[in-house]
Amino acid sequence: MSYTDQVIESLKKNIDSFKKEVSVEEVGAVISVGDGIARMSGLENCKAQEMLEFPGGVYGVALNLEEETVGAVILGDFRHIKEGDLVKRTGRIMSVPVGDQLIGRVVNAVGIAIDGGEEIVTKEFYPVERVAPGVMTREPVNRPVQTGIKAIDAMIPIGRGQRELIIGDRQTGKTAVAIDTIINQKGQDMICIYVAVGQKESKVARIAARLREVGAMEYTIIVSSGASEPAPMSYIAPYSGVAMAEYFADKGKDVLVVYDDLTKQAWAYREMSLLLRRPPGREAYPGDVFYLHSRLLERACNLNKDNGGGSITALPIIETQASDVSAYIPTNVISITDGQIFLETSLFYKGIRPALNVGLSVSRVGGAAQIKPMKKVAGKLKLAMAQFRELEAFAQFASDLDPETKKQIELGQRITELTKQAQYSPLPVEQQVVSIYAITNGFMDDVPVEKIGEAEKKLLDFAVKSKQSLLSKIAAGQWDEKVEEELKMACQEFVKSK
Amino acid sequence: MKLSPKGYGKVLYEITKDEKGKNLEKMTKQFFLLLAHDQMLSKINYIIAEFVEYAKEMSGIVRLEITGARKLDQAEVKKISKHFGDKVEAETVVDKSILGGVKVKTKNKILDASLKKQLEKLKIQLNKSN
Repeated sequence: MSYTDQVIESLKKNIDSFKKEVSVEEVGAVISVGDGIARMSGLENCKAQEMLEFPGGVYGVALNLEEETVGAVILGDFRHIKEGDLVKRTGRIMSVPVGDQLIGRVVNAVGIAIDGGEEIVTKEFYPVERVAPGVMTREPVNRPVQTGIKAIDAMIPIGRGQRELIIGDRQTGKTAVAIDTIINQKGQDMICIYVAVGQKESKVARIAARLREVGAMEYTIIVSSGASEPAPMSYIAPYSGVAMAEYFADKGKDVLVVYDDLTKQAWAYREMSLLLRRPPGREAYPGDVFYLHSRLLERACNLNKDNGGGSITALPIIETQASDVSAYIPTNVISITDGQIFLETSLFYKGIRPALNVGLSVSRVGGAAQIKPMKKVAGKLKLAMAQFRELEAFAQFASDLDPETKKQIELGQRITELTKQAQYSPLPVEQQVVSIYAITNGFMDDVPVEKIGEAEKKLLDFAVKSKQSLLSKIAAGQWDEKVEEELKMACQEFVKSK
Repeated sequence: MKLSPKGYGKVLYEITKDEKGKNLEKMTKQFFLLLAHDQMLSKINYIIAEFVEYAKEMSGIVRLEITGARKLDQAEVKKISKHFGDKVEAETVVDKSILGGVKVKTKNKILDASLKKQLEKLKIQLNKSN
């Protein structure tokens, strides 16, 4: 049979096997539409958060179920919808495609690919709204998320299953911390999801390009709801992100989700609620803006062995105005998360980048999320920094102080210099241990403070070239007298060879 | 408390449904006094329209809108209406774009038995199998 005949045969078979089915669909009529919100009459059996189909293939979510009308937000272009149009129930509660096919792709809030690649077809759909795992399915956080940023891994460590807030003014490096963390997850058996809420499309494009360059897209999904998309998309995007994460966590994998940023999601939710005529509260936010964030962040968890042992770690980002952490949304999210990483503009301009304020930053999980070597070596770091901050004002009178105080100030200055790190250069944890050990045990005492960065680089080059076995032992979490002795000798060797 | 026109329509139906003669007159007069009190007399046309619709619904009269590709004759309309109940008020509409078959719309549901819909479904199925 020729090819055309084959095609015709196959078409005929398909047409023959076509079953004529007629179904009854429940409909409503649009009473009013505008600003992304539509009010419909009818739809008597509509469920909460059910997806509705508008003419033109646009979908909406029913959010306001009133006595005679249904109020829905439209997920897409609404300009062609007119009064009187028929709206159908789909019977499906809002859900997004989930699966391995999403890894390496850039999708929008409803799971449609926007990176110009082929259409994403998945077998499974997870509901966007889901009840967070209960108390008995969880276990305490005990494995680290290595961010590769010395200041964080040493003094404000993050664990798998924790929620750590990254908070600061604009342009303080919040996204940079999150991206460096994602880049450092290479080879750490972690899937990363970066949710961009209300960000400039150019920024997301740059991030995607950078991640692709360093090979991070092999384990990352980007969910983006740009600044020009309707508010409901920005409202849903974080929930879609965590739904995709839950698919992997249910299979026992570890997932890192970055929400950049939740302030814009709160704005989008405020916009939607005001248009839906829900009563405004403080700062015009609706009454349930706390619930908006708490139910999102509660879905981050560390599941116990009986439930697969997977985890979802959340790094929400909040932008403050003029460092005001006592504003409405920042206080809400601070009370929900297990700690915060505080980035300050003044430190940024002083040259301390990442601009972490170690004093105000906290990780409520702490040492339980560090490998043994790091815990031993960095244990005294936070205390030393705290003492330094107390004495910092006296640093100008260095010559008039007693030797004890002078030593503390100098140590503080060295540690501050040590925590400075370039963007896009995350450090593996074993190298961080070597570096911190050298500084805190006096091996760099003769190096002037400004030259510490250089000296550290030389030390690490030396360690990588000639002390691989020691580094592997540290990376595996080994720490005993022998290992410490080996490390001490390595540092002495380096100092002598300079 | 002020109601919507639909609400007043329902009220009118409820208070007059079992009344006759003198009582009916009395009830209707009371209703208009209520409207005057609530300053809703200007919306009387809407209220009456809602009342008629509600009354028909309550008496079991089903209102249908039947759309066909060509004008449907009485026998066809009767045949379709029979499936929806004994008391049916059918309105017919001609829409060439559905190509064939019928679309029947009740107050809240739509039964799409048009040829256009079947062809759309066939298109989706053929695309999937490829």
